[in-house]
Amino acid sequence: MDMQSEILDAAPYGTLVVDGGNGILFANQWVLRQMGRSREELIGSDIESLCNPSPLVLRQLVLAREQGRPVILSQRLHGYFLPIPLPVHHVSGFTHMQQETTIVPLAGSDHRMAITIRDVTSVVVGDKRLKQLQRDLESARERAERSDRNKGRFLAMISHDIRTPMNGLIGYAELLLDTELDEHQRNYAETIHSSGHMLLNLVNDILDYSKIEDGKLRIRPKLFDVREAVEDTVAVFRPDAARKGVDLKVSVDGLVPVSFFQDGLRFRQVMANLVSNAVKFTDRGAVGVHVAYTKGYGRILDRLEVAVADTGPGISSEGLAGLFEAYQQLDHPTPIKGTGLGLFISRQLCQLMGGDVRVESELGQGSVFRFTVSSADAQIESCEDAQPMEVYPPHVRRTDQTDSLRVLVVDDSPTNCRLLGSLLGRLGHQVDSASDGNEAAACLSLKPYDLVIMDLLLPHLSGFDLAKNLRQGAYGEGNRWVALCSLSGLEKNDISGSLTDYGFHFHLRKPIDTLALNEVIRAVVEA
Amino acid sequence: MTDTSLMDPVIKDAFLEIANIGIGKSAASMSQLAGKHVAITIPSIDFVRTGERDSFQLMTGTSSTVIVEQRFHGEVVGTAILCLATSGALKLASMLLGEEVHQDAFGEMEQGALLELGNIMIGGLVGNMSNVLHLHIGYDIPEMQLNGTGKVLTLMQKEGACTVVVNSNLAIESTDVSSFLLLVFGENEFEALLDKIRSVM
Repeated sequence: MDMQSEILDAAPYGTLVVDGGNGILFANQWVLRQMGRSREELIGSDIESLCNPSPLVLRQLVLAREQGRPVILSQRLHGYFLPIPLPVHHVSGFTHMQQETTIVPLAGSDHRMAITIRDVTSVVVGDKRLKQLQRDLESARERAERSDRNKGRFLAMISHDIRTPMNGLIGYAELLLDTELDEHQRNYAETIHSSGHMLLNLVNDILDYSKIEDGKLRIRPKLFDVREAVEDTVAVFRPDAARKGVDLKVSVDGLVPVSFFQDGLRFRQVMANLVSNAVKFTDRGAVGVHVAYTKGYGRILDRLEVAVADTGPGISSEGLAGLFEAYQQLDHPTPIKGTGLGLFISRQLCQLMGGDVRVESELGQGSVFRFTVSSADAQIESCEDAQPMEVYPPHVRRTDQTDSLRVLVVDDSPTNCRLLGSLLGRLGHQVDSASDGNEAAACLSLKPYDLVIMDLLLPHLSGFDLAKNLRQGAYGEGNRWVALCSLSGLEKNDISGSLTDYGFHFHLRKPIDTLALNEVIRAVVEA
Repeated sequence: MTDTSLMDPVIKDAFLEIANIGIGKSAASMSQLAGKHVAITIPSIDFVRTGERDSFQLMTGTSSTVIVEQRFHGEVVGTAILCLATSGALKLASMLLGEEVHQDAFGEMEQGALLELGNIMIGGLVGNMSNVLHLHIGYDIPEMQLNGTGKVLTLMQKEGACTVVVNSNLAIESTDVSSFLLLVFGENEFEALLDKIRSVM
């Protein structure tokens, strides 16, 4: 055997040489081994009878021979050239070895061709597995995203539903606190009231978090009074600070303008979170809130900076890492309740308001949290105002102008109806209630009202339909332009569809804030 | 080589005829291969000279190109290249294999199928050229590259290079894929080819 044949025999792929009539001139060891034939058996036999090629392959062989050009037979299109059986139940699932074949005409006039065969069975199996893995991965990703969306929706829904019973809880606790109580009873009522508010804050955090996750958290800038916002926010925490003997101080730089153009509610929310944390973690010493202002120039916007410094336990460097991530809670000797979402939400809010939050702290040295917000682009303000214009005329009072209003409360929750009845009755207003849309329609057809407060999700006839019918005069002219206030666990801007398009003038969010309710009443009385 | 030669309608017609018949043969092979009718539009011919840097991208309209390259030698020396926009190559693979092929699933086996297809397309064109012009041509083994734009540009921009661009659409069932077959020659090699064409006209 010559050296070339020895080299070809050692090759990890098959080699055949055929003559112009497709008779086999040479077969290397790989072919002999795979075919289970001896060299003597193969030499001289016909490649067509050995391989039984398809007409297409035969045509390619003819073309290759005639034109002297190579032919490629891919596994994907032909499977295999040499029929080499695989063991039954081979892991690949194939009955025959999968091959890539190259047929190369050799130089000279005798039309010999060299056929090279590569076993690609394991490559095909690997390729298939890889594709299956990619498909599985893609499907797992889709499932995870779907589950995440469902989780977000569930959180939003459950948080919304929790607000309705809390309306009763907080509202009745407030009513109870306005009655004659002994010291124990007052303590109990105050605990119910503060626990209700704590639960409400948790629900609000969860709602904000699900909005952040969905990219739906929006900032609604308006001019707000900075000092009022700071004082009001700090005032909420003064009783807690006083109880702990912690001095809660506020200072506002003289340069801070009276009003600032940003989302005042969100500004208060961030500040409340930081002050609440500072008071919560500080057992002695002081909490200081300082507000500063930097005038913008050129493209740099006006900026407010609020620093909340405390003399609390401080935060270790480990604790500082990931402090602003969701569900992070610091180790503290006393259990501190919360979702661990406050700082995460605060940072997101600050960033949406063109600023950020940062912290400086050392263990035993207290902490300083600073947050900044920039004045919003004036064009943003128009977003909210750019809602469809009110298509209904302003509300009108019925003819006998007194401070006592006739109010219709429509809610399928008897607790809420009774609560609103008590709150309004206490203020001297006459209240009727209806538990669904049809009942409300009957009331509206009977007598005129000054104000209708209605839940939006009512049985039989939704609040939207009721309002629409009312504005179209379906219940007579007497109440056609009555003041309408919607009631929902959602914020006004989270309700799909514009409330003003349905003729609503006001919106109250559950649980009902008595101050907000008083504002609505005042607006109707002054109309 | 003179630009006048390239403007000669006889030369252009000769290339057009060679391409038309050659690609027609390729279509027949592909139809047999895919078990579906493969229609090929009458090709258009262009000549691109060195220095026209953006010509290739202007032609293919994409920066992501799958190429099958095969060099040939003998009486005429050159490189034949089948260029397909990646999206077109995926469509073609899907049609040939009878199943949807996505870019992220463009595995070795699908590449093997496209290599076979490229070999058939190039073989049809160059094989017919050698038949019509009675040329003795030998071929190297074809190679495939998933992103071959850079390689094509390098070849086309060699000093004196002239490229014959054959553009035609492959239509299988209701899907059209635009293909470009390039024949890239050196200056002297192209001159030899033109002489050969003139001698048989």
